Amino acid sequence: MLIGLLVFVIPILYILNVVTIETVNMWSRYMCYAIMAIGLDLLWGYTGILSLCQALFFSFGGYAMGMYLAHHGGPEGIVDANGWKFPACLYVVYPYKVGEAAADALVPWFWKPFYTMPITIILGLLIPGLVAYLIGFVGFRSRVRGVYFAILTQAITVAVWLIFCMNNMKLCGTNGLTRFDKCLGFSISDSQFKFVMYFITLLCLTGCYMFCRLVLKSRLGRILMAIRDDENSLRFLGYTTYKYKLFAFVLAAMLAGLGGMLYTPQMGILTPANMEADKSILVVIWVAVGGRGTLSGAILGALGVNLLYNFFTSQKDFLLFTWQPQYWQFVLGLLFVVVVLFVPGGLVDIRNTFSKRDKHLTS
Amino acid sequence: MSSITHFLASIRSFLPFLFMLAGVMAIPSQSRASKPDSESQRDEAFVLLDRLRSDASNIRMNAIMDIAKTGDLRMETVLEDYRIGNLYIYNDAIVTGGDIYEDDDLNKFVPLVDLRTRDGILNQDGTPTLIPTGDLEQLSVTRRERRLIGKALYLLRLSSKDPEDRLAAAKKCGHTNNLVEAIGQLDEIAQDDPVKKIRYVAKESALLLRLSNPKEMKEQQTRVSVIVELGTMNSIRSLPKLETIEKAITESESEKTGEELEVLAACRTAIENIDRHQRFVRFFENVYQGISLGSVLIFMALGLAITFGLMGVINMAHGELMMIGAFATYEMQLMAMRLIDKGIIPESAYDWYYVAALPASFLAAAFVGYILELLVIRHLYRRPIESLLATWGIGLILIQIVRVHYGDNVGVNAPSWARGGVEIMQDITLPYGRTFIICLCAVSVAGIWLLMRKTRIGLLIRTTTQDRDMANALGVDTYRIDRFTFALGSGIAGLAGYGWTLIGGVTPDMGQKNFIVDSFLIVVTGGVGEIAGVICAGLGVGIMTKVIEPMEIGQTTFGAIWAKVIVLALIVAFIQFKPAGLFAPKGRLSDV
Repeated sequence: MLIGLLVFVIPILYILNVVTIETVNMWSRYMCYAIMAIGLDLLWGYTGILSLCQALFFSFGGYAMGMYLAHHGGPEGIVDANGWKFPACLYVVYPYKVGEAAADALVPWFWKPFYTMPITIILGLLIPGLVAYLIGFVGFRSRVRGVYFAILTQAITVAVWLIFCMNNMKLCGTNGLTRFDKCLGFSISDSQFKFVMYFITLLCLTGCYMFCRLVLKSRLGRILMAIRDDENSLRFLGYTTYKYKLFAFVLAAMLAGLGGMLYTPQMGILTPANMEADKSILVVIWVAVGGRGTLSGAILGALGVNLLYNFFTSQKDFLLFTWQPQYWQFVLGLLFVVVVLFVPGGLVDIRNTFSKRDKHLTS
Repeated sequence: MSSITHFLASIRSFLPFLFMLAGVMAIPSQSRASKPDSESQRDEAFVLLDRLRSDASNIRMNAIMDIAKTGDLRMETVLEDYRIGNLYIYNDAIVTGGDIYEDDDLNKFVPLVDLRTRDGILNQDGTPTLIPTGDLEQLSVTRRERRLIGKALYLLRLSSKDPEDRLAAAKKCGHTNNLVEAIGQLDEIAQDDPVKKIRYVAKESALLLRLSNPKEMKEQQTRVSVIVELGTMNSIRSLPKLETIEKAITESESEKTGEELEVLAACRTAIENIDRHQRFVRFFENVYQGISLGSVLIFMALGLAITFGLMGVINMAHGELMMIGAFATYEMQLMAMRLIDKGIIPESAYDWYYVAALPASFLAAAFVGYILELLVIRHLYRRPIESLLATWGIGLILIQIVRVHYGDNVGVNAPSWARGGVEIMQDITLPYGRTFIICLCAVSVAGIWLLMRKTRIGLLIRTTTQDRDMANALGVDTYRIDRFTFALGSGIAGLAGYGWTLIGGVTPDMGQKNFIVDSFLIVVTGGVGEIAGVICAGLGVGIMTKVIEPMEIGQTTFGAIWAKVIVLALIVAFIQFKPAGLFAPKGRLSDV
């Protein structure tokens, strides 16, 4: 696989000083996105469920890790009444009630579990999983179909986004989680750290890829594909399909959460903007561009579109016009339209698009 | 001797006559002074002005109050001038100053203006009298007087010809403490004023003033009776005062007298009454807001229902079509302003831009929809997921085009007739803007229903929806119908944008931000393709959102965000029980 080669080439280039650590960091972040994309591909490409809330689960994982980092980062010395060190980003936007003094502010109970790394990791996977379970339970049992389910997930994303933006929820509102310094004792902005994170992310990505391949090869995978192809027949054959759909949904959510957890230390900041509705739709387009129904297509799409984004938003002149970063929206919109209309199989399938053979079914 | 006595007697009998004559001659001069002759009364206020030159502060303050009591409206500007220190003494008369004039050496001069005629005071040679600012003898005014003038102006405005002014003045007189001088006039207004609302407000203000100043109460009036009257009037304005009185009595340490207990009881009943009225008013207002919000949502959802029901296409660009309608309205406004600037149309026609914008927004959105259909949507029938993605991309492109052209924040001003409202019951005002939107929605829904049921093209649309292949076989050009339907749905979205400009802000991403998710949920809740369902769901969602917003749980009000979240949760729960919506298509399809 070309990508496999590339991801090994990058660190070598870095060691040879051809690219900066920032590029390595960028690739690493995009790999986190790729993890999320694999989850969606499993859900959509193989099970046929379009979910527009992957970014939400991504953010849940991200917030989990972010809270851990916020506990351990920032300036020392701000301590609340119980002796807990106050996360700096929360302290700055703490919503004091009328008449409450700064000394009365307490670190909220839901921040406390994220103090240790193992629990953070567990919770970072568990929380998206649980939420997905709930949503899936509500959605799949009542046989909400295709498009309706997608809109349902989008509505939930909007609702949760609104909640996270509010200051009184004590989740740092629209400022997001910031002021990270250290992770497990290492400084975040250290190049060594970023380099190591790259490999960790790569490892996780490969792991997830392998895991999903395994799932898809098994009987469970076949059932998922059958759900995509014709759920009704499967139900008439006696399978309780909603359980399998639920499984796929929860798995995708956990993968997104994992991606989020890896993302936060490398990005340095996490805000509610990461869970906006359009971010979730972006994931779908990565998978669509790359090729849904193929796991490597998901990775390709995620990396490819993001690199394209990076390219377009950093240009000053392009094709004779002066370019502004906001023009990327044009490119993105066009990408959506073109891919959906003309290249439904995605990049991986691009050979077939131009061939005269019968296109094999991926929709 | 008898002749002298006779003479004296005759003189004596003349005397009363003489006295009468003297008296009669004296009377005209008095009556000339007290007759309501405009000449003398006009000057009465100006005469009082002279007292402002006094050095004693209380004479000045009394003079201000007396001036206000005359009800001479020209005194309004004079008092304002006095307040800002723009009255001067010149040639032993009080004059005011016009705009400051600067000569070439940057020395400042003030042209003097006569108070009565408001003309410039001219010198012997006819040039305006300019006095250097340093040489002016200003009529001094202290802070106390300035505050008093503020109050006095309200008293003055009670005599205004303009009912709006009188209303505002009557309200303000009730708020200002110790404006007891106003009580007399307020009582008069409460009896005589032609406008019912002003009579009510004046009566309320008079009662409020009496409550604070027990000495001014009429006979038979006690604190209790005043409070009871305020209660029966459902006077919302008096609520804070009543609450303070209640609090003061309940918290006072000393033994409460019988009278105080009576007052307390009266307060409590009055507060209860007024509270109840207030809650009713607020509820009604919220419901009305909810209906208008629901109307906009119905617009959006109708368009969506039509396209989804007919063609199986999810149009995520629907919000952007609404935005196009809103921006078309904006463009109309700009065009109207440009035409006015060039003098092609008169200024009074500015408000008509809104009427012109109605077809403009519909057509603009319909046109864009038509093009979209032609280029893109045509390939996406019966493929909801693909159409979702493709139309989302189109939406992004549209947003970007508009953003590049217009910038991110655009101000659309409502035409003047859409501002303000009509008060149908005490304290309940229905804003014109929202009423207009509701009417527009009702008319449009009726129009669409008529179109669908009574016209040929409506028939064709229904046919194509029911069974596309059969329609094709019967010779219906389904592609043309599709294009028309999509354009229709888009035009309706444009109308939604047009209406929205009256109640909300216009930005390039308004479609995404506010509406697309809501409209889809309404379509889903109402049942796809069912107009009745969409209407019920739209109104329901709108009203529920607005009614939940101000509700309280514990100490906190819900607010807009939680209201939205709750409504969302309710819809999700509803879908559990009725996955196909309110008015589901009947049948045994396993695929909804």
